[in-house]
Amino acid sequence: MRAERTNPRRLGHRWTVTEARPLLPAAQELLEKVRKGTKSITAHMSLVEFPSQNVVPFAAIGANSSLYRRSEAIVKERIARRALEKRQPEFIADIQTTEEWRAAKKVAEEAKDRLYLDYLHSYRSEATIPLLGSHRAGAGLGAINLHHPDCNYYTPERVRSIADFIEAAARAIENALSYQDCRQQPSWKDGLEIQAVNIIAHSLDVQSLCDYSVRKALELSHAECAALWLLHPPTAEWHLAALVTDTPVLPGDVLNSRALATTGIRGQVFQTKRPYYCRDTVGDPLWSRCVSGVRSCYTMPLFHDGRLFAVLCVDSYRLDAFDETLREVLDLFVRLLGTRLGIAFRASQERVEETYSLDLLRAVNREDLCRRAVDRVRSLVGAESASLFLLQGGPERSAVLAATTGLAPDFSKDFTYRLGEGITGWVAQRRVPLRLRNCGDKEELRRWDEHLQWLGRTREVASQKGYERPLLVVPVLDLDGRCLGVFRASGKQDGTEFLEEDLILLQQCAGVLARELVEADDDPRLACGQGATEYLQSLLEQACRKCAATAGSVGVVQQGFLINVGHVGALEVTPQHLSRSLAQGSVTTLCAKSGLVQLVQDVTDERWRAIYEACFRQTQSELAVPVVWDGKVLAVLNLESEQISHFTPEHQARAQRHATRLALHLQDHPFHVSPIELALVAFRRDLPELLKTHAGFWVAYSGTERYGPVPTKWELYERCLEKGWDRADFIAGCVEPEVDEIVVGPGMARVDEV
Amino acid sequence: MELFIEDQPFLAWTDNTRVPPRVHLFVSVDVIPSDPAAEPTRPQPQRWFLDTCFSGEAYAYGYHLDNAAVAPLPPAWKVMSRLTSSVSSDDPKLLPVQPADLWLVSNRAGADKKLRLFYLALNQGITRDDRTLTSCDEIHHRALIGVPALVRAGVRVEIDFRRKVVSVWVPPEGKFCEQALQAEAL
Repeated sequence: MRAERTNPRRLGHRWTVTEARPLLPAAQELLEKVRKGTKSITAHMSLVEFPSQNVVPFAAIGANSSLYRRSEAIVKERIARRALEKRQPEFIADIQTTEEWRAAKKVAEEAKDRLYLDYLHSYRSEATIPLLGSHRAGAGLGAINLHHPDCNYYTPERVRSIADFIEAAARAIENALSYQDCRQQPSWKDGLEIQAVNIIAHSLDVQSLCDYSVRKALELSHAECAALWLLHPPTAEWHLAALVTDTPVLPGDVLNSRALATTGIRGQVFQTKRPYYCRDTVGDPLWSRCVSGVRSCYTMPLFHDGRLFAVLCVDSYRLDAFDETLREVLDLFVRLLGTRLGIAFRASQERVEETYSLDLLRAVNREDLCRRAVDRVRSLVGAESASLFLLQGGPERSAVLAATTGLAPDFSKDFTYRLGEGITGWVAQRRVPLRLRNCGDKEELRRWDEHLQWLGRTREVASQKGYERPLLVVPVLDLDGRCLGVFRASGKQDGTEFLEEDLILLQQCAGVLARELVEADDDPRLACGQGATEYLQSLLEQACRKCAATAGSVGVVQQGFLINVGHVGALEVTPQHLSRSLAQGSVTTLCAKSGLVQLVQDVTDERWRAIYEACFRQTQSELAVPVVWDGKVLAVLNLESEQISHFTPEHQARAQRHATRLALHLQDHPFHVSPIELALVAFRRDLPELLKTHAGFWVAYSGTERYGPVPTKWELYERCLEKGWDRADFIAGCVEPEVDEIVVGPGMARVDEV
Repeated sequence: MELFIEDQPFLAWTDNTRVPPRVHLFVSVDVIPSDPAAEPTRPQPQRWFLDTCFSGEAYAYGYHLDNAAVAPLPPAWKVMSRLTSSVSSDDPKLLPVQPADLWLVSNRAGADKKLRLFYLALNQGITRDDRTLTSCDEIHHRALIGVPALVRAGVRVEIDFRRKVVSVWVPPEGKFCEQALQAEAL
């Protein structure tokens, strides 16, 4: 079934189970094990459908296993979704005390549905256990639902006792889904190709590209630490571009790291241009400590156009952790990555991907997103026509045409390919890109695959007889390597054929599209008639929800100030306190000034205590992301949570995506802060200094311009009006300590109580 | 110091939500709001209250300021104050601060029946509440002057607990003005 089985354990989760099987029998067998293990009467399994993300009933085993009603299925789906979100089992001690049960019973009684009534009375306690994927992002696969006739039967201990079965079920489902996706499994080399493509395809900027590369290398090698160093030729130094360890490191500390190109292990790699394996760091003269406790490390050079431009290091706490097979795998990965990274750097310089991504971010809804995706792709690769197919449906998945553009689209809107059917289905199944000089040439098809040659006699190629043209077909893969759809571009406008660069460009576009497709479902798109302020607010709410933050705010940078223009969550102080001068030290101003993401995992931490000022109730951790356009910080998106160390790299990536959308929005609808708002912030900025020198005096501000201090308010107004200031344009304040909140008696704030 | 308000009776209310209950004093004074650093455009005294519970500068309902013809709030005005009730546990509410000042009216009528006014400069202005009123009794919708405004003006307040009256003296270096009472005044 599988072409290669070299070192299966270390090649990622898709290769972890020894036997791949069709989905339903595997699921039923495991359900039976789980049911017996827990002594339950019934066990149901529901799966998350992809890409719709609906939780659908899939398999059931035990007594009354077929007696689900639609209304009940909806309730179960809600519980399953909750369990998946929490990543914890959900327990119902006595189902008969729940409202849903009573409602279902009432309906059954009214319908005199005796059978269903018996079923409803057959169990009292229920447990819903989430099935989590083995990928680090922990994408939920589905849930197992267990029933027992006794109350309070399911306890965390009882569920824990079958943890192995549950894990096996998750693995089997994952593996079977993978098997479903590609009945003909790719070899591990193909797998690496997919990973390398994924890395390049899902990176919006060079920094996240490096981060993804390092994370993938770590996943592949099962090591504890990995780092990517880029060569900076003018200074002959290595610059640390990305680092992943199991010990927390502040980003500020890491990004400043430099090292001489010619010293240590990296220097050895730089000189020899060959990988260096340090079996035991103790006693190795070249080894210099960067992460304590590392016993073995493997350092590999990355080449592009024959030139060394980076090194990738993987470190392990174990002695001799990288055996020959693993080193071979890593070498191949790095070889693929080198080419990809090199091209990506060039693309990022030309800013092709950025333009494409921003174009997609402007989409109003999913349909618009698909249309924009194909329109831009067609012009980017210079194709005659471009189409996008999206994978839909449950276990029997098929690719359905979502959008098409250009000359002679030779298929109707409801054109569908099942997996493996036609060139499109073949690409969706194999998840590898295809570039053909002539899609009517059977010989060329045969070079790719026997299957494709056979296809030459079937409907797709046969229908295009006499219309022989170059073809580019690329899978749209998400971060987990799952296929969401297929891009195809056919016929070059200038009559030539597609080049390797076109293929890579299309892959990059597919990656950006995949990210958008996953995110697009519940995005607040700019609906007709929605104002700019409301849109900004809905973007902020969305960012809070996606990052599971309890509070958030957006501050716009103007004239040296950070002015709050929207907030979500219960404020402890007035929104004006969120606005501040950039000269003041705070997490948000630091972010606005440096243009770097600021992550405070614990606000009581010594390092942050000096500058941290609470704006929201019970904030424990904070994430501030700059909203950057054209290298200039326009605003800061600030998210806060009640939990310590709440924000993960995934949250950060999501927040950054929202920051890009905010940047786009602020670019289209520039935010004008009123002079009064600026005046207020300027007054607050100066107040501490003025209190020391001119307490009790009066000052006026128009925008950031100050007049005063003068002894009386009367005099201040006379002077300001003489200057030509209008009464509505300035504020006058007394140099006194500012009062945050005023208190009134009863009957003032709530007249109803009198 | 000049005796400005003579023997004005004060009242007390008890905040029973505190343990032990806390007694607050309040006294009614005549006041005219005006544009900041300007004489009143409509010399019609209003009944305001000096309440020891109130911690702000000045708080009034929309009709107090509109009746006194204070210049309306500019559209982009963003100066807000945060208000909590000493009794209600509701979330604080944000109210706009309208730029304005107050003139204290003397209750010692002169022979010419003119109003004698003393200027109280307010930091930023008056907190404006535009809530719909459900009662016509102005003691329930009290416009309030807080102690900070009086401290800044440097006035002297004498409380006579035996007669239950309050008297106020104002400094002679303060700003005064005299205006004829309007025909439709109280």
